[in-house]
Amino acid sequence: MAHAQNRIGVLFAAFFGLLTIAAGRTLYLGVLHGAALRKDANSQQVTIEEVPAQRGTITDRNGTVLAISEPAGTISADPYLVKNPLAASEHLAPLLGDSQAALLRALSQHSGFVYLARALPAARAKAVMARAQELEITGLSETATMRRTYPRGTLAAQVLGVAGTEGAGLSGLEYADNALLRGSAGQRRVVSDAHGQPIAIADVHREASGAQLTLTLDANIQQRVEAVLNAVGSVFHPKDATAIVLRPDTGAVLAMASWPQLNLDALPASKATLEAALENRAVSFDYEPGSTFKVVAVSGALQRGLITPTTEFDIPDQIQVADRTIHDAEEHPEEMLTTEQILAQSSNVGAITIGKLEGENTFNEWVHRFGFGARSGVDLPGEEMGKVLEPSEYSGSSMGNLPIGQGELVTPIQMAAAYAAIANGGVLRTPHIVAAVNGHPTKLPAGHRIISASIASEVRQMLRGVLAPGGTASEVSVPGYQLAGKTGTASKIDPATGQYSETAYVASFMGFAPASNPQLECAVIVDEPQSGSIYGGTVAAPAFGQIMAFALPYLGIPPSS
Amino acid sequence: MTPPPVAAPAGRNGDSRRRRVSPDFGPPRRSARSAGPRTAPRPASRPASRPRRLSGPATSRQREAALAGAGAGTLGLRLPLPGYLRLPDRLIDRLIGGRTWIAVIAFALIGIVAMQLWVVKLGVGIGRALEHTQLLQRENAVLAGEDSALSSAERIERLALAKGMVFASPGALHFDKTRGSLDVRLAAGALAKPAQSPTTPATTTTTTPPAAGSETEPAGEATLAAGTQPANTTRATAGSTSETQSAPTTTPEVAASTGVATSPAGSTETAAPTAVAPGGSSEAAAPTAVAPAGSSEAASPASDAGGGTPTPGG
Repeated sequence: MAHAQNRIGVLFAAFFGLLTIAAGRTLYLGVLHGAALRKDANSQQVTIEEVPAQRGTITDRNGTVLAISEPAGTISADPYLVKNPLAASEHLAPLLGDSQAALLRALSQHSGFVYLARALPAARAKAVMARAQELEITGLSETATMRRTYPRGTLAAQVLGVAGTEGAGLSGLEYADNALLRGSAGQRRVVSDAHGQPIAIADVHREASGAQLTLTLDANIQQRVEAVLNAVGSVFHPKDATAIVLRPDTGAVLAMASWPQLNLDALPASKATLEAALENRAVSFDYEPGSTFKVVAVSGALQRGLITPTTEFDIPDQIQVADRTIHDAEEHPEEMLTTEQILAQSSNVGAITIGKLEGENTFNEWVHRFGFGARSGVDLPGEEMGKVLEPSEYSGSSMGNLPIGQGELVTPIQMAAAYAAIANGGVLRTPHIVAAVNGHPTKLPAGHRIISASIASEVRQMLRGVLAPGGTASEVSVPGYQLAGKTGTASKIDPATGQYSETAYVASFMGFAPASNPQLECAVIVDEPQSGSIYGGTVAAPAFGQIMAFALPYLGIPPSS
Repeated sequence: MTPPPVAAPAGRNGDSRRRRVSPDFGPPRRSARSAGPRTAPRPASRPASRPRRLSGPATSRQREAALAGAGAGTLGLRLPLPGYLRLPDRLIDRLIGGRTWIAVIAFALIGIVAMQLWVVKLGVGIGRALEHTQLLQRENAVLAGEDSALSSAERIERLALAKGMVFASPGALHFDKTRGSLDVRLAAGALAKPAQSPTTPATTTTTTPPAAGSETEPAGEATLAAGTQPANTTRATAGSTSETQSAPTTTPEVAASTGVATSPAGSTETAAPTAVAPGGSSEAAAPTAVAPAGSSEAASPASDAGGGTPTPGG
């Protein structure tokens, strides 16, 4: 019995001893060394991760993706921790898509942080890190980020613009709608176990993806327009060219292209080249419109009742305005031309005669009513407003210049909007390119009537003559469709002399179809065609015809006959 | 016979041991003689010998006895439950006093640990799910990009041309007017019939909006037949088209974008604009549309935008 008592006593003592040790250890870990351990645990087990927001997708009107963000990884390094930079650069350079020399240079810097590659595709970034781990290359880290890709490459490049490596829009719609597209990054608290496996994840701030923009653009029409402009570029070697296709009844832009093209996934390294290539000339190109502007003078005079389409004018070969003599494009004897013929043959003398009939103030009023001298309001950045003289700034010979589209500056989008007003029955509408945000249609600004529907119809009828036999674009046709439009060949100022150049012109064509009930409008502007012809009827009008030949049946617009 | 000289009451166990009282402490004692008889009779109800209280949990019988003695109505220890809801006392005793509690508590402790482990596993699962979500998002974005690139009209056009297809000329397309419910009935009938053989001759059936001038959206409204037929097997031209309700349904958008055609080979549109010959065009006939050299206005600076006299052509 005494033996058992002793054994119980020993057992009790042992347990008590163990308990005392445990209590002491607890005291040491929890109280004496607790703060340091807690700090270590936090640094080793708890991480606050940045959750990058997915930038909104940009699609065309049919849902074709034009710009999308995908997860990516930025690889950085602490050169002080990279033990063998030479070996590291040799193995990682191919994966990073960089030269070994450049990588070695980066890894040899006396710095605690260098970027090795920014916004690599996630798969490649993972491959780099896996390779580094495999080769036991220390000092590398990967940061989750997003990269912007443009699956169609050159398609609508100047319209879409680009987003920088930090995710901010730098030009085009990426810039204009950056607030909608960017979203907001989130933060996530991750507790990991000893093996690095997350055992608790909580969102500190939830990330919010950017809005999805649905454009009015149609990728197929856009592609066709760009192909046509490429062909114009290869045939006429112009300085640049631009084209716009829109719905005259709504102002929805179906295509907006600029040449030379730009591949958004392979941007030029030179900043100056990049800036020039990114310029959306459809909204930023100020040019003298030439004969395409004659419809302003004619429409105003028709609306005022000063003339009718059949009013006849005695048109000589040239006309004297103050100290200037303005000629028609071709020599001809004095002849009687109707208003319709003046437009169809693009008579300078005739247009000036009609302009003078209106007078300076009335003509100027019509210029402004058609939207010139002010921005069109299209939802794209970088729009120029052109330059229109006020009557007080007119010289004696201004009315010899302005009615024929010289002496004032307009933009392609302004011209497109003005012709859309003629096409849709006289209502000037703001062109737009964003159809919906997150599926919600954008509110369209109301248009305002500038000419009556009957006058618009008369002007449309007269513009059919331009593409009819005897017109300045008579060679252009689309089988089955009645086209209407106006050619323009404008002289450019030679910056060296300050005089109108005899070699530099802007060839343009503004037109729509079907002529009786226009549903599609197209504007083509070619700046300084170099070889072949220089005229709107031979440079821009054929491009208009090719675009319409594709777009009209594509959109299911029935032929006129 | 003398009575026992003990005045103190009986002890706790009822023994008659004598309690020694110190005369120096306590209140002054009453004189035993004046207080009455020195001997007090034992209470009659007190049992002569009560069993000794044993250590350990009370047995059910003891508890029953205690409860019965306490009087259920006076203490209010029992809930005023109807009899059929009242658990049997024996069961309560077993629940409270049995060793089952050890198992219950052990089970609860194991459960708590298991639950904590489950929470940890859940955290791991959430982490993996998030990684998987990111992976799927990544793949989705990549696939969306690939889809967009592969659906490029340029690429499809190239492939179609390689297979011998050509573009339909715009004049080769014909549009048919819709006939309301008749078309619906015919379409329903066509759906019920077995599919036609792929050697169906190329035909064209297209529809237009009922009224000219209305908004014409292509998808679902207009169909271009024979759009999938290679050019060498298709003879449909502007004059050879026929209207057939069961014609293959390829929208003009698809037909146009895919480059399929009904027009004869050789009518392929190329993107290159042809510099149209100037013949017949007044402006083209006069390539120099500037003021004649040496004219007075050419030398005089322009007051508006530039010098010289512009003579724009059409």
